[in-house]
Amino acid sequence: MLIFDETGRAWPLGKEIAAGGEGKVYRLLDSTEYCAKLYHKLPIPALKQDKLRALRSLPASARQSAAIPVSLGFATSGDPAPHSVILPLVKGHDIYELYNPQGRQAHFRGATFEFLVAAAKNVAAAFHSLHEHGIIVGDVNEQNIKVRTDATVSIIDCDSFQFEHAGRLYTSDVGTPLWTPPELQGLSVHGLARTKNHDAFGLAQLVFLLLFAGRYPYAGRPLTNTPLSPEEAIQRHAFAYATAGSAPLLGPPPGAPPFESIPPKLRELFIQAFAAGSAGPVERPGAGAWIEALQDLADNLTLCPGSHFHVHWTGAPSCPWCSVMRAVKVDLFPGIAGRVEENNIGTQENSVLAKRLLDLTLHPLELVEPSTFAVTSFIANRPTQKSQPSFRSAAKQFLVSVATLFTNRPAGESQPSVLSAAMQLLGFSVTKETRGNALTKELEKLEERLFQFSNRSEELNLAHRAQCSPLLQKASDLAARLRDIPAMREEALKQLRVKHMEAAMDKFLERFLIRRIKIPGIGEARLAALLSAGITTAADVREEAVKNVAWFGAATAAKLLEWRRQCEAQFKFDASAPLPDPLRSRINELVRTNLAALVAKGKSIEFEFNQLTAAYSKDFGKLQQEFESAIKERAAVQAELSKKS
Amino acid sequence: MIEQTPFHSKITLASNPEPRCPCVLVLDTSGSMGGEPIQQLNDGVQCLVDELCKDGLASKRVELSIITFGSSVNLACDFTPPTAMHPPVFDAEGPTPMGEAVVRAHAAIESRKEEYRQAGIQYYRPWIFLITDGEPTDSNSEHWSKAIQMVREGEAAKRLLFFGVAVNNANQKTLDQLCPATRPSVKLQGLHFSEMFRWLSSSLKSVSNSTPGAQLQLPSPHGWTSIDA
Ligand SMILES: Nc1ncnc2c1ncn2[C@@H]1O[C@H](COP(=O)(O)OP(=O)(O)O)[C@@H](O)[C@H]1O
Repeated sequence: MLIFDETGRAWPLGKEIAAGGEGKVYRLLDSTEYCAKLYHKLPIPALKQDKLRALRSLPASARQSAAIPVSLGFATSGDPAPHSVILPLVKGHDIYELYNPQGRQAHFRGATFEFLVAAAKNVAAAFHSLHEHGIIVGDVNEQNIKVRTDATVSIIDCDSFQFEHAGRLYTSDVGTPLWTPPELQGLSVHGLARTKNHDAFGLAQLVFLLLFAGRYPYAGRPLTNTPLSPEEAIQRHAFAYATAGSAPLLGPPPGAPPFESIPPKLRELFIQAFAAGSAGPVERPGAGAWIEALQDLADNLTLCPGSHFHVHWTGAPSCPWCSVMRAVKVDLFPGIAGRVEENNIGTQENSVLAKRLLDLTLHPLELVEPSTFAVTSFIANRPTQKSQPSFRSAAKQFLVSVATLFTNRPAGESQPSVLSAAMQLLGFSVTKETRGNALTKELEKLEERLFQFSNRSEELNLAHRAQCSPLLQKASDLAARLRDIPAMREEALKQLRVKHMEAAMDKFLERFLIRRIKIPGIGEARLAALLSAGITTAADVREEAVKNVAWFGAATAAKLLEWRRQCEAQFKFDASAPLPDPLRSRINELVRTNLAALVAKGKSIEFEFNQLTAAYSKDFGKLQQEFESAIKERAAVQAELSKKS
Repeated sequence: MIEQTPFHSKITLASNPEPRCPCVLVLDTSGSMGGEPIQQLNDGVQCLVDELCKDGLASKRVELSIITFGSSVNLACDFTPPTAMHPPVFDAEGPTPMGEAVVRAHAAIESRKEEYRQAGIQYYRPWIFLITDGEPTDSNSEHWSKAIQMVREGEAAKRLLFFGVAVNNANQKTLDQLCPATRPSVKLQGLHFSEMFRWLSSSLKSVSNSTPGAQLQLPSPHGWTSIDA
């Protein structure tokens, strides 16, 4: 398919990139720089056409941050109405693939917090440049911003921008609930004039998601019994990390980086964007404020001594990523660690076998009624030379009988004699009928037999299916487990790493002897109680253990736990250092034994399935032969019958 | 020693904080579904999973669970992200304990919601997508009335979206006792399971993408519903 640009040049369309609500986006075969968006709804409504034309007039400086169309597209050159637009092709991934930890592992492997901060600043810069030109993004959402591998971003879906051209306001008309500011929640956005302040909500949320590794500002642990839908939480300013005075509805979720891990200025901006103004919309921080605060953060980053991938703000109380790891056992920035060569153990072998196992399918056979065969055999059984004589002989007989009548009977009796000749003829056909009766009976019997065949084939199929389906189930389960081997390995590695860190941490904490250190609020008596309860070092100070010490109140327990936390904060752990050899070989052993067992099982399943299938095909082949000969027989009888009629 | 963990536990709520849309497929695997229908159903579920996996955002947000009802009510698959899902192959046999299955689906949703809350993960209105070709064999039991009540209350409070799909000669009248009045059951055209599940996939995707102020707009189910319903 060709599309024509405004100058009449033809562009052959390439592969489809993605489909959106309004149109499909295709590559252009001759270009690595441009793509084309073809609209679903044609003709494009007049207002939209005007908007697309107006988009073309936006200044070049706005084009750096957004994929603004470079030309309208037409189905034929000289068409008055466009059916598409040609726009810069944006490489990179949707922004959610960057802030979401899973997406990051898949598409931005190795990206650290530093990269996220850089991307956040670039997002703010993109908004800043658009806002400077009086352009409102309108439908800010996680699928309309793409991030490249150098952390620069580009905003797509520009036909939903809001802007003014030639004295006319083109509104955005679309929105996404999860990205809609409180004051617009539940309102129709059709024809609504949006403001920079509305955009500022989406911008703040993007920055938050990037700095908090995929956590939403309004997702938290509920502190009341009323469940909040995502939209209600926005509407009620239920910022989970801080409040602006009113009673909090949500607290920070477990496993989120602490709010204190970013500089006070940024915290302030987030509170202003999300928590403040429950009474009504207030000005949210603009793009400029974010750029400044994010640049400041970018200038004050440091590396956690525990990991080459744990980058954080220099002023953070402790490494936020280590504390997440401690809380929920997930490393949000595992970097490229754990991707050593051992990772490839058996991957080749297991994926090939997994594919073969998944490809095992039942191929139920069907009795082929040889329809072509039936026709030809019918013709073969009824050669014209054979039937011709029989008709001829009937006619001859008639003539002979008429002749004999004429010769043997007196004249004038010709009438009845013709009649009797006809009678004779009738008699002839009567005898034919009785013979036909026998044939019809035979045919019925044959039909009956043929009918049985379909039952028999179905029985065969059912039996085969019954035999094989547990096997196929096993095969697909096994394939899944085979494919999970790398994941299993990585998971085991992660768990081991966490355990390894915990063990190291415990060892470290054991160095803090309670009796050597003066803890505020712990006098001699309390110290004695602790020691007699077996709590001698910081490592022993665990919530459960401390609570169980007789007559210790919550306040004392809290003090102890706080002391432990201070000790923990001094802990330095090099998570990027390779695991000790014994641990590594244990994992490899685990993978290898698992793999060997699975492969053996997989191969035996494959073998059994092939055996069953071979036996089934053989049985079915026999049935097919019987069936064919029965059909042949029927054809013969049918031929015989039609010969007689 | 290192314990093994089932695959989907790897994708924990902690490593993917996206809001979730839990969806329970409640599938009739009673004897009458045997043969072609059950095979088409199997293929259809696989097709749903494949479609969801193709979408980076949907695969992070949708969680599927499968409950079958036939000789027993069976949790065939607990809530799993599509990327980690290997749908089991269903066999058709036994009666049709539909009421019990719906009650079970409801319980599964409630406990998953509690897990979301504990983890501080937001969620969208959960879906129950029920497919049957018969009528409940437990309609005289307390399960049935309980199921009706749960669906009714959940729908009224906008805490649940219930879809009933009738296959072949399903008794739609009885099924409609269960379905909300505003969304009566639909009849599947022939055995167009794959079309239906493709529709379900794009509907689940659209849950979080609808334009504010507009009604929840689901794609038209034209490709797979029968008009003579
Ligand atoms: N300029 C572009 N470069 C690369 N991919 C694009 C571009 N524009 C759109 N896409 C892809 O196509 C999808 C749909 O485009 P979009 O303009 O958002 O369509 P709609 O407005 O119809 O939803 C996007 O999610 C994106 O993945």
